[in-house]
Amino acid sequence: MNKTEFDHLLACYGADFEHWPIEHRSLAKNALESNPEWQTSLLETSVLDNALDQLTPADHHLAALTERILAATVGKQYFLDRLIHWLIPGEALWRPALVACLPIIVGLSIGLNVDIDEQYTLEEELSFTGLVADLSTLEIQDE
Amino acid sequence: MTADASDQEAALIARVQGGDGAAFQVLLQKNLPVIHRYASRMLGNPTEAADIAQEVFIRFWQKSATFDSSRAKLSTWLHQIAHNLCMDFFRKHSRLTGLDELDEPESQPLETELGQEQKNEIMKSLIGKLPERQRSALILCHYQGLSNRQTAVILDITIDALESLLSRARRTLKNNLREQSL
Repeated sequence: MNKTEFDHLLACYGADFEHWPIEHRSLAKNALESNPEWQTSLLETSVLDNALDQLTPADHHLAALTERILAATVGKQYFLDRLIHWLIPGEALWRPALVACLPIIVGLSIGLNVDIDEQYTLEEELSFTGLVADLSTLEIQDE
Repeated sequence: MTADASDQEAALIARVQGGDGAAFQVLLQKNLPVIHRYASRMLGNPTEAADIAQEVFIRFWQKSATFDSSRAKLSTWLHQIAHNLCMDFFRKHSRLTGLDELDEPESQPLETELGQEQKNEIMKSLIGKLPERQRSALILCHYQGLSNRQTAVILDITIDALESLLSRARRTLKNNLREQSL
């Protein structure tokens, strides 16, 4: 590698050889060892590389964006998978237990809300009275 | 990327092509930060970058069948979609210069010594003032860690054209840094 090639690659890819095309990296390192005076241009370029490297982007919270993308792509399938994962996790056994108890809880809540002192309609009352009267007649006949 | 990682990625892509949402989720979580960072550096705005990143992955999901993992890396393809979307964004918002000539930002002489945060702001602004294709070439090669071949594919140009963009971008930044005394 001659100085013109070295300077050209330095101007394009900067002072960090990791950014250079892979086929030129070891050639450049060897050339630099053989020509220590090339260090000058390398050091000049490293000023820009250092300034570029110090510029780190602010961390952006991507969890919400991930959810948005999944909802817009895999959609229902993803949420079904998440539900199954939530219901049958590796460690939290209380969740399947809670789900198993759910029918009992629903049954109890329905049972407790039933009004046992409910008033019967007139027709129901008459029907019950008639039934009781029929039973009394049957009992008299049996005797 | 090692051969194992590459095989693993190819297997995940094949599953995505078959409509596997779990495989898509794995690839999304791996690649979203990188793509978002690229768009954020290109646009200088994380919120607009989030919209671009979302569109990249929607397209990946919808058009995964057209991707051939034996011919290109997924990261190259995703960056290519992101780059094209950024260019569309600049066009729509009349922010595309259409020029790759030197675009010298105005010099602002500094009277006091700057803190690191201010220096970063100035550097960010200098990168943001580069013509879009120069900026993209620099971001892809320097920050995104892509090879010159991958970058040339993404920008749809030859290696020589890429090197021309890179050297002009670096020369502009170097001159402006000198003027700013950073």
